[in-house]
Amino acid sequence: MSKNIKTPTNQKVLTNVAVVRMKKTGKRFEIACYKNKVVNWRNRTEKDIDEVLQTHTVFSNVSKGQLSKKEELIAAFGIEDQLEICKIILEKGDLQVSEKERQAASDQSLKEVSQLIASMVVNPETKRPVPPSVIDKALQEMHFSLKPNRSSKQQALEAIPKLRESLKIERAKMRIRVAIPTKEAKVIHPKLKTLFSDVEQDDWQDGSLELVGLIEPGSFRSLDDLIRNETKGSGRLEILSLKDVVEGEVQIS
Amino acid sequence: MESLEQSLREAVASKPAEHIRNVCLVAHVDHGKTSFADSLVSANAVISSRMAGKLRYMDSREDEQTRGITMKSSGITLLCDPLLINLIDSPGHVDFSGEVTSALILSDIALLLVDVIEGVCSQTEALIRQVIRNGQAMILLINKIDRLRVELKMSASEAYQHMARLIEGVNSCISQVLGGLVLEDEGDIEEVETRYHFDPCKGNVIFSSALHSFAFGCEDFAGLAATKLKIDKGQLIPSMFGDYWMDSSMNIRDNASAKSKATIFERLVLEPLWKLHDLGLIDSDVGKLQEAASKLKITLKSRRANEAFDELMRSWLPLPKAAFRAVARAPSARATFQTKHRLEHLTKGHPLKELVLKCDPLGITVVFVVKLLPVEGGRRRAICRVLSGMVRKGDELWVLQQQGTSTESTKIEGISILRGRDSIPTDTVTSGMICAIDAETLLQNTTLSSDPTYGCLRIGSQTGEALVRVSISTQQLDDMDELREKLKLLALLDTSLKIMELENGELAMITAGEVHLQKCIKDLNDLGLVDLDVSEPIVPFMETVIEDPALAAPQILEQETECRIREALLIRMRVVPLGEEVVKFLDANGSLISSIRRGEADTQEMADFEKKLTVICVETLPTLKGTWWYRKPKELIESMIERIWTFGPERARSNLLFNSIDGYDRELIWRRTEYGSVRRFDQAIVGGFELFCNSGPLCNEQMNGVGVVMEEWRVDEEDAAIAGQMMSAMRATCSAATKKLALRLVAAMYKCTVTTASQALGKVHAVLSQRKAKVISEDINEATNLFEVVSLMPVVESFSFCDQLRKYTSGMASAQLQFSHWQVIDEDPYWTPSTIEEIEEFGLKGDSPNHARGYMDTVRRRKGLPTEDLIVESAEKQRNLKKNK
Repeated sequence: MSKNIKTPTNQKVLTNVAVVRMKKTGKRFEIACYKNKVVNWRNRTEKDIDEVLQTHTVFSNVSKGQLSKKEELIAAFGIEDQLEICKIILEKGDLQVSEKERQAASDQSLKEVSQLIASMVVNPETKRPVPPSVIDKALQEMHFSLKPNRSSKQQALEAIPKLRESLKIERAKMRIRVAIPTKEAKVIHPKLKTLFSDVEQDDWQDGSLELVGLIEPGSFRSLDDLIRNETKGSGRLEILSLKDVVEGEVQIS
Repeated sequence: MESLEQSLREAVASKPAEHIRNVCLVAHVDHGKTSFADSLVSANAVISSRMAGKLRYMDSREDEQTRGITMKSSGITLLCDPLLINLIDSPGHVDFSGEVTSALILSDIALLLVDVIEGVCSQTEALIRQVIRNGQAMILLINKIDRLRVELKMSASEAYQHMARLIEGVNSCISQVLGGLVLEDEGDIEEVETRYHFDPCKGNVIFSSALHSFAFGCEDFAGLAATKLKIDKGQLIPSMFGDYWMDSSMNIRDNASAKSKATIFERLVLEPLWKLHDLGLIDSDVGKLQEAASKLKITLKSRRANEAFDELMRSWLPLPKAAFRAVARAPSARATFQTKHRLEHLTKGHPLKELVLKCDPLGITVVFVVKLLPVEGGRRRAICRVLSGMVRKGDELWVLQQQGTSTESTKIEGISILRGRDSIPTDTVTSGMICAIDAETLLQNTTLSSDPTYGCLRIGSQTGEALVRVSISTQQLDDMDELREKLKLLALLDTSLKIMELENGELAMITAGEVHLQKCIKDLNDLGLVDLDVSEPIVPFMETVIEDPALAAPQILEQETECRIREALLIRMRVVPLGEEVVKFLDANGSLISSIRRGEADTQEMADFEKKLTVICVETLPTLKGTWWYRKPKELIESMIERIWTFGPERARSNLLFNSIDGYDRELIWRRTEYGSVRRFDQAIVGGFELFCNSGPLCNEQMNGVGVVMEEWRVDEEDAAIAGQMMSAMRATCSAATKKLALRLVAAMYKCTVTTASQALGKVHAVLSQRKAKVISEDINEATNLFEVVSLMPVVESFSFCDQLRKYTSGMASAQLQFSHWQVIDEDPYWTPSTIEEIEEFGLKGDSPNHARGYMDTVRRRKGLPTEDLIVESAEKQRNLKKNK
């Protein structure tokens, strides 16, 4: 029989194998691991190496069953111990993310996004935090989908304006205090005021200015720049609280 | 019907207080309160007497009827000339003990029902304690006596022995309670005992069967016998119940049991009664039954034996008659307050006491609001007791304040007479009565009066520890505000329910137990909120550190922890356990600690507290082997107590921060004014400590019984940035220091009492051990042959326990759960087998699961904290085919 003809087989091989690859000194090194275990090994929740590695040998190709040559290993890693090399590859190699691992990761980041949003917003009426479960539900209702290549914080910030259409929420504001000495106070006062969304205290004492109020967290940087540039370092900016919310447990009955 | 309503209206407006009796039915669950109430209600022709005992008229809620248990207390006013009786039916299930308390506050006389077979149960005992504390009169009702004959086939003498034992049991229970109480106020125990003890001859014991609607006291039969045997009734009554017998010449002799003679009670009461039971319920012989009836001059209409039996008993020994006779003998709505304990306990020497004592319909009006009722529309309706004066529709009454003159008034928009499921509107109610009023502003436990100058009555209803906490939300986000409003309303109606808004903004319901939770959810559904998301019950834990006797002194010294931030901050501290005794003492003085923290505590009280605390600490701390305290000199501990920096925050009070820094003489918490100063940023250290106490390192639950000893604290006060970091630095250092000790979880425990038939005993133990309960005792009740198993069970494990128990035992066992105490789980949550022997015994993964670890991980998962969960447990056992294979 010609070697080009293959008989079909209903046997599926390598079903429980995840391959971790690493290229070093122009050679490919692979190890055979169990599925859904490599990520756990990397975040140190799995401590038993035998639960991760199928075998303590390094392959040049797992699916063909070809082992790496000893010289190549020494050339690439400088050691001979296969187990140690396996551990290096496990840590640094490229891995196939298995289905459950992907699932867990996306669950995790979805949770992270809703936690982040919950930590950034308040209920404008009561100034109380909004529970993450409510945010979760609202995100689901607006068919929010996670983009795996962007950071959770970015996605959270993008989702907030959309959430405001369906929920009564508001970015939690920062409470800050600004002190400006006499010389620049008059000039800078109107500019400062436009950045504040709520001024609680506006004191003029001997010509110097002290302002206490709430600002949107987004305008903190421009406020900081403004004060630094206009007063040449003599003005002071102090954060009184990062989030203006009513904290703690409250009994409402 | 019209005329009855009319005469009721007249009666509530004009009856003198001497003729008013406020009665409350209390008993253990399923001892027949509601059925008993039925019979009394039938006396007023509200329901047919044939249905009495079967209808459960007072259970008006749908879920009460389907479950067959009462869930709320409800009242009915009954007129039986010359008396006017306000009857209140209360629930028996432990979860609703808040309702029972309010029922008891309303009433003066407690009818204590006891199932003749089951005897004194856990709730019975608790109730006796409560009633005696309130100084109320008690009448014992031995219910379900038909069961002795029909189910247990007891002979007359067996039944007599059984009942005598039962009454003895109740009396010994009373003596126990009294012992504790009398010790408190040093009265004469024997005198009080004789007043409270039950004796059928005294007429404060009634034998009844609510199902068959008959009841009798000793004098009923004494009367019958007296005419028949031609003896003087007065002579017969004292010997009706007891070790007396009658010889052939009708002389009464004692020592019946020694001479093996039938006692008078057996001969005159039980023997004829059992005969009728045999005829009616066992042999079903209508003919003979009618014959017997005709002897008693009663004609029976019913054709079937069981109905004929009911009819006969109903007309021969009517239940309402016996009950009302006993009630009539008990103190009236006015006389009750002359009992020594009654008012003192309720009001503690209050200026209103005089008025309440007089109970004068023409005096100043004083109304005490006890319980709010759900009602349609915006108005509020409440059950209240008129303590003095009269209430008229349209009256303007003052809501009394704690101190000073009241400024708030409310208008009585309507008054109604309670009639179980419905109510009859009326215009005037006289003093001593219980009625429902409608008004704009009504709150529980408030006093209304026509004179604003008095202070309000302090009648508090204590509620049990609320343990079952669920977070609740609606599926539709828009309904959240409505949910919040409805929850507020619900909490107003039900004192045992608390509503909290959690740190993360979620709404949480805190209920007394599982059944109570189900009732609350049902209530919410009835209020129009159908699609609710109710979380799994959240059970509180606490975290603590314990001593580790295996540690040697140098190892303990190494538990010190340091924190440095640049050159600006240095904190050095150690964490120490406080030991059981000290924690117990601190827990007991929780409210004092709170007031010390607020700076409001009384100097004298504070000095006492300090002294006692020092004594306890000096005694117990140096004996804690395996802690830093071990063999520390007395002087050191005394000075440490003196220099306590602060106590734990409100929710975690039993924690201490010690100032053991050389050269920092901080002002003392005990004596603010004395020497010492507060360094800058002191508040940040306290704040950090409080944060740590509120969320410990295991799973962010509260800490309990932890001491933090500050040994060094240096801070660069010029560094502006450090101020913001100090609090979190302090907290993190505390956590880190705690992790060096043996951390443990503290779990709330239920005392679980299971009553079971003997054949299901094995199954009961199986369920109990599955729930990690620890069995304390196992007794057999000889009369019933039922086993009573008492065990301690962690609250976390208790959910749907009752259901499971019922399923496993095919309904042969039933359980009652009641909060008992907090207990340290003696299992290290971080333990893994490490030595070779341990690995051999437990396997590498720890084949026996670590419960503490499990509890910790559930809490961590709920709170979104990282856990060491694996995506798949074992690599080889993965299903690696496609899903459709």
